[in-house]
Amino acid sequence: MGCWPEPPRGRGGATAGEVRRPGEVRLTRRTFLGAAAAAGGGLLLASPWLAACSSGSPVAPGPASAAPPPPRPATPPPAGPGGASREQPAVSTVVLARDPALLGAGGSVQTEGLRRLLFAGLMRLTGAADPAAAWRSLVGPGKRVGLKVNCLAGKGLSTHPELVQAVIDGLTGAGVRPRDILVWDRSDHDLSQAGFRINRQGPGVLTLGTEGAYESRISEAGAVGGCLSRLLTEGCDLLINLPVLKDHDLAGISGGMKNFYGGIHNPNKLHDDGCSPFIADLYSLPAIRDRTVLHVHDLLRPQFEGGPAYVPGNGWPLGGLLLATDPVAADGTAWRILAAERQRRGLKSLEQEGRSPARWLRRAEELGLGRSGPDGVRLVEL
Amino acid sequence: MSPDRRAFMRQGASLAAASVGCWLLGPGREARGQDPLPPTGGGPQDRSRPAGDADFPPVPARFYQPLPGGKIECQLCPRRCRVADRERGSCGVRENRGGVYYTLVHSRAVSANVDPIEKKPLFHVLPGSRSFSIATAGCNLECRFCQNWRISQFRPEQVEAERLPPRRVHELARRTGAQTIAFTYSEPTVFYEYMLDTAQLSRESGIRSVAISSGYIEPEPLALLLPNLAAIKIDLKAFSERFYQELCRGRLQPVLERLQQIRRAGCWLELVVLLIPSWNDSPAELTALCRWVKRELGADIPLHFTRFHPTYRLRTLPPTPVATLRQAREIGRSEGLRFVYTGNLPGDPGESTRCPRCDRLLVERTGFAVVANHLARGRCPGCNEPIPGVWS
Repeated sequence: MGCWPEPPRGRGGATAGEVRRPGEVRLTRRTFLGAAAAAGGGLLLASPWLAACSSGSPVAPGPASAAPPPPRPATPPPAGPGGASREQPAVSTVVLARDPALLGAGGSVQTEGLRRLLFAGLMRLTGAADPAAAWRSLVGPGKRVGLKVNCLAGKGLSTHPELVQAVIDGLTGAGVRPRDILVWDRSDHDLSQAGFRINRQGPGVLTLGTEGAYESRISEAGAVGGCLSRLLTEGCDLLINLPVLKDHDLAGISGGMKNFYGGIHNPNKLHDDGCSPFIADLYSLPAIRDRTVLHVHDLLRPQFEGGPAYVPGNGWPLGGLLLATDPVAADGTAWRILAAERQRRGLKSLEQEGRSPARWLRRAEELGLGRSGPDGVRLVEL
Repeated sequence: MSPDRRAFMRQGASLAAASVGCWLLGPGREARGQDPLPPTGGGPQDRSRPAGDADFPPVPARFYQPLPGGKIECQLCPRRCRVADRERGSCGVRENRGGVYYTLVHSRAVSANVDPIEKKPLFHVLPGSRSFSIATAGCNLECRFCQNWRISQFRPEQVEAERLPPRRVHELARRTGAQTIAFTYSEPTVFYEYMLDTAQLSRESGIRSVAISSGYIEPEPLALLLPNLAAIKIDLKAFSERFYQELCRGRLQPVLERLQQIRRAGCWLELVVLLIPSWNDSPAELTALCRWVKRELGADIPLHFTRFHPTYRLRTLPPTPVATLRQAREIGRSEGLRFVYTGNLPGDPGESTRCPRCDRLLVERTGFAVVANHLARGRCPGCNEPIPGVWS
């Protein structure tokens, strides 16, 4: 597998013979290094948004309400809705959809604008012609869908309920019955603190924490051994992963794959050695890997430093969503985004602080969970 | 949603109310089957607080150091976890809340039983007596062969518990005729404050305290604890760093240093080595272990070689062959250790205590039962050899 980063070589830019479409950025090794090596280099970033980040003047994309671009499959759709194992495409696509205007005062979010942004991003990711088709390409009829949110850090740094509602709107618009949707995390308390209303018995979408409902048998993969949440294994057929991006004092970042620490009974045993190989090994469990059809990272107001706890003032108003079907590509891209913001603020890079995510990302690549290296990820910005 | 799924959620809610209430919670949890439904959550409850806070209020922890940025460093065990706000240490039972470290398991007993003290095993402490034995959830190691992983490897809120404050523990111990209180089953280091507060009542109640531990603890908390204990049994998992790192996620050296500390403090000490085929049972390793014990701790330390049974994350190995256990005992004796036992091998002659001078049978055991105790005020009735231990 491709090991990275390596020393920069040559100049970045399009590969000979490769045709790029507007708004599409192929992350080369060089552009990757430019972001991930953040404080070390100050290299120019090929991505317009990342470059703008480094110059301190973010480029706002067009408003989410603008007409979406003509549908084009940015990434091969999954082999079929239903959560079976999927073959990896040669290049994994990650869609970064942004609209900082979504964020209002006091942490409020424009729900309609967010919904449009999400749908536009998903259409770009799947190549579907309309939102309902985009959702249906991931979630087949009659499936029970779990939405794994991340609420550990409280209201200031958790998956926004507005984003979850937008996903629910998309699913129901595609024919999924509300009662077949389950919003879940580790505990009722965490969900409540993040602004979700617990609903254990319906009617409508269920929202609840695992509490003590773990399987009695141990699921094992590599270094990980633990009992999975029965909400995950029994409560849903498919998963949509809705993590929030934040700095993490041990893992470097807390992103998509790490979000499943909230689905196993012993996350406290999975933090040694910068959470490597635990993050990757956990995600490789078939119960998780084979169920998860989509990752939507909440980048509305990520936290660049001081995580995983919420630190007021350490978030930045990115107004973004990161969408991918490849968890490794999504996490690798999330790292680059966070690294760029740290660089912009003059903070040490995660490598300099000895908490680079590179090891667990590399492990994930070795396990065939996806690709995050610069040659394997195509970033599409909206 | 299918009816089954909805019932699953609903019954999960209803079970929450019934999840507490028994104080004798059974001999560990290894024999328990899967609960048919989610055991907790859902009832009308105060969600402004984490589950369990109302019944088991967090207690400020000892032995930690605040760090910049709201983090803390736990100084209870050699792991020295650096814990961010709202996070827990590796043990899963100590949590940072706003820069203050709390134990979540004080008085939160998940197991409370009356055991023969031979079950600990402590063979040289009040033979045939009862020991009121308690545990909480959590452990600072993750031994792949843990027999009690259903409590040691779980978080407090994931295991049924009963509030059992220290005075109540002594009261129940007295009522059940126990002569000791044992902190056991899981790892008492992680419920240190509960253990210490309970043990400190021993002088007042007259019921002595004993600890059953891996010895993975820092010197300062151990020093504070030892004067309050009548005895301590340490699981010496193996005599190699590789074993500790690969099977336990710990280190050997701190354990060896704590054994020396216990010996220096004069607290009665017994050792157990669980022999796991191919991992820690080579004659060379056992010889080195026995030599170290004799040199650093003395020939009078009882050493128990016990039988492994497949469990938890080490399910593919066979049980320890009987011959291996007997060979280990012979190695110990040939290296000059005076009290070497076999364990988890009911009926084996190696379970009984014999006089190291005249070989007279002193305490005859079968399993955890004392069949006969011939000791006379801690001496051999045949040759008057003093036998070290806590006999009265």
